[in-house]
Amino acid sequence: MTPEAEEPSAEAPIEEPAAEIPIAEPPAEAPDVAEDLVVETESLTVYYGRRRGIAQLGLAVRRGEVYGFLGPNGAGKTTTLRVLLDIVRPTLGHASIFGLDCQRHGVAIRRRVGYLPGEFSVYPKLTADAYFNMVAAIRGEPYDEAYRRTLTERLNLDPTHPLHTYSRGNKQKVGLVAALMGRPELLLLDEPTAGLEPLVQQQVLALVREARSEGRTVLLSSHNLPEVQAICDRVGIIRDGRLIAVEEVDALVRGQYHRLRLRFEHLPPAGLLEEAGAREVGRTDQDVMIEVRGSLNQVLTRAVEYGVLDLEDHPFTLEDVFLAYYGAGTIEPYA
Amino acid sequence: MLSLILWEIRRRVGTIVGWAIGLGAFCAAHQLIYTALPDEVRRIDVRALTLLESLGMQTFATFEGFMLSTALNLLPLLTGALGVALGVGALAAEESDGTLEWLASLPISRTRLLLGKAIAAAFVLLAIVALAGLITAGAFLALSPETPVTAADLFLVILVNWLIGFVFLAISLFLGAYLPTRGAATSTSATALLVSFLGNNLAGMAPAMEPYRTLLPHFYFDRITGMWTGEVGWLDMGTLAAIGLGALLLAFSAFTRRSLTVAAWPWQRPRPPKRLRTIAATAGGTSSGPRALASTIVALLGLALLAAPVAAYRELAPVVPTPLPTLPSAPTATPLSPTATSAPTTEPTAVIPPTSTPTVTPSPPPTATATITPAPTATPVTYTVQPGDTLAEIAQAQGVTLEALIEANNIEEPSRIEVGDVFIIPLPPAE
Repeated sequence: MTPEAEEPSAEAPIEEPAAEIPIAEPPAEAPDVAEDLVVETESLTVYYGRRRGIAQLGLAVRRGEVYGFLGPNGAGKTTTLRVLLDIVRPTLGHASIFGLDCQRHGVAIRRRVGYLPGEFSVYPKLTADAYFNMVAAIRGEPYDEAYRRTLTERLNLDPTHPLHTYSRGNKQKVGLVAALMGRPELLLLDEPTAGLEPLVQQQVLALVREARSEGRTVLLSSHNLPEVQAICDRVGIIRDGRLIAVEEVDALVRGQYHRLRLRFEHLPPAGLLEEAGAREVGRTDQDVMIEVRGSLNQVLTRAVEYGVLDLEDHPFTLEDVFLAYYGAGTIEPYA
Repeated sequence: MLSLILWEIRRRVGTIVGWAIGLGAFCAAHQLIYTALPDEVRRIDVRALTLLESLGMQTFATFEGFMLSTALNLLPLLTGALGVALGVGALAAEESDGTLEWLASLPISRTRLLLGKAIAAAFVLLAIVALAGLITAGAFLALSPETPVTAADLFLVILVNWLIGFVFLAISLFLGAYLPTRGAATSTSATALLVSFLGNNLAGMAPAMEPYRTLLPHFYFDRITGMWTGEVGWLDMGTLAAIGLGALLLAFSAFTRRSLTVAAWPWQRPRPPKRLRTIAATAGGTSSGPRALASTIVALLGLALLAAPVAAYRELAPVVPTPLPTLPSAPTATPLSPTATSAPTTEPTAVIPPTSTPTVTPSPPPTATATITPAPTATPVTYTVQPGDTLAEIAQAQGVTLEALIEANNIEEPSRIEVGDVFIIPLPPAE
């Protein structure tokens, strides 16, 4: 749980009485030199009238990482990305990218950022090619024609048709190419794989990985857990407009935890495996489901005494993380 | 920004072609109608028909009068509607469609984004009006109706419609930047346009409403078309341009300050609970003081821009409501300035083109009208009943017979007349 130590503001919102939070926060911005942050927000709050968009959000994205912004619909993911691009103005707090204030240096920032909106809308009469040309012209910078062609080929997109003839998935691809083609330093992708077929989804994830390997930074929002698990270095979990946890994906998922289902010849008595360091989470007349932290050696040695017929690994997923934070029944993992 | 402008224009090539052909055909068709108009229709005294006058019609007797009563009368309404369509399409529609979010994510400032869109829309408007003018002038040359005006005059009088279109373009840009949805922006802009157009025509008939006309862009526009007779209304052009630029300024203020993609009415815009705001202020967070001051200044500036024409009008042309004077019987003297006849001033002033001074002397009409003059119905010398008057006394004092007076006014019970009744005094029968 190292990240929490680095992120005092991420922890703050968990405390309930909102009135007491801001006083404690020092107004001075002390840029953390040790950590090269690309995106940084401090007690960022957006109200839509009386309705809350996000509250006291402290986000920190490091250079060169893929940061997954995870949460159910309406949690405030899109609002946060819009504040970063100065599309929505914060009610309180502030946000910066590359150390520049998002509101004051919006143009300079956006020159280095590629954005895929969550609901990507297009001008219907244009062809995708004309659209890309227009983007390049407005951005006012030379871009790599060959790379653009590579992108359209990899995403399996035919860019010669008018956009209104495209399906939702194809429009999404157009938006992706437009965001990626300038090789921006920072990619803000709002649900990048939504509406795409599985093969193309894999391509998108591969492109994100390539961006990271080139040293670029990616902040993507999602409610698709396997996807976040597959490509993100860290995840921030947002709920009701508050960032409630920031975790390293590796530590969280691939690290210390195992979850096993064991089928026995003779069912061991309750509590026996727990002595060996496991936690029993479920049992039928043949099976026992256990969670183990650390080494499996002791547990398995004890288990074979009862004749193990079968062993199934049930790896932890972010869904379990979600359940841990949200409690059962409040998530919609695969929309 | 240039690429944005070019892109915005290219996107609207279809609009340009369609509207230009439409407006051009509209004007050309009316020229054709005029050449085919039978004499009876030309002789109709439009001013005697209140409904037609309220629609801004003046006379059918001459080509200029006919065009100003029909095609050129409606053109500022159509151009205004075009301005509204372009203005709403530039901001509000794109915000509702979701494309504005994406545009705003590009490295271009809000000011430049709006400036680019405004310039492009203004250019599109100009292209449409100019093309429509060329089509109309072409039709004029082909039909060559009998009139002192030239094809170039006709082109200019159509081109000047750009100004009124620009005003409503700017107004709808502002409303689109300020209001949350496309629907809200469209309906308010369209309402403003209709109020301006109809209000100007209707208020022109009621002298008491005269000062309020100065709030309506179409009031100034009407006076500009007076230049058809040679008087160029530079002051009115300047006023219209100022109204347009003022609205544009408000549009910039609204657009650069608000959150986009948030379909919220102004009172629903982001504002934290009071509790959080005070805490933020003590913690040195964003203070709303300078912002509030700036918005107050902008609002006052806008109000001043709106109020200035009213004040100017009152100074230049004090309205003296007098009983209706004799209408000029020569139609050519009046068509270009509806203000003069409906709100007569005691003397010609700087703002009102001199051609509009009510005169009784019929300047010789160049065309067919010379042989048709004067239809008795068109001479409303009137008399307002005073206390103690009787019909017979009135008739005697005005030098007409009692029967003629009764007939002219359709009086059913000659014994019952009321103080304040207005009677038309017919001309004495020709010898």
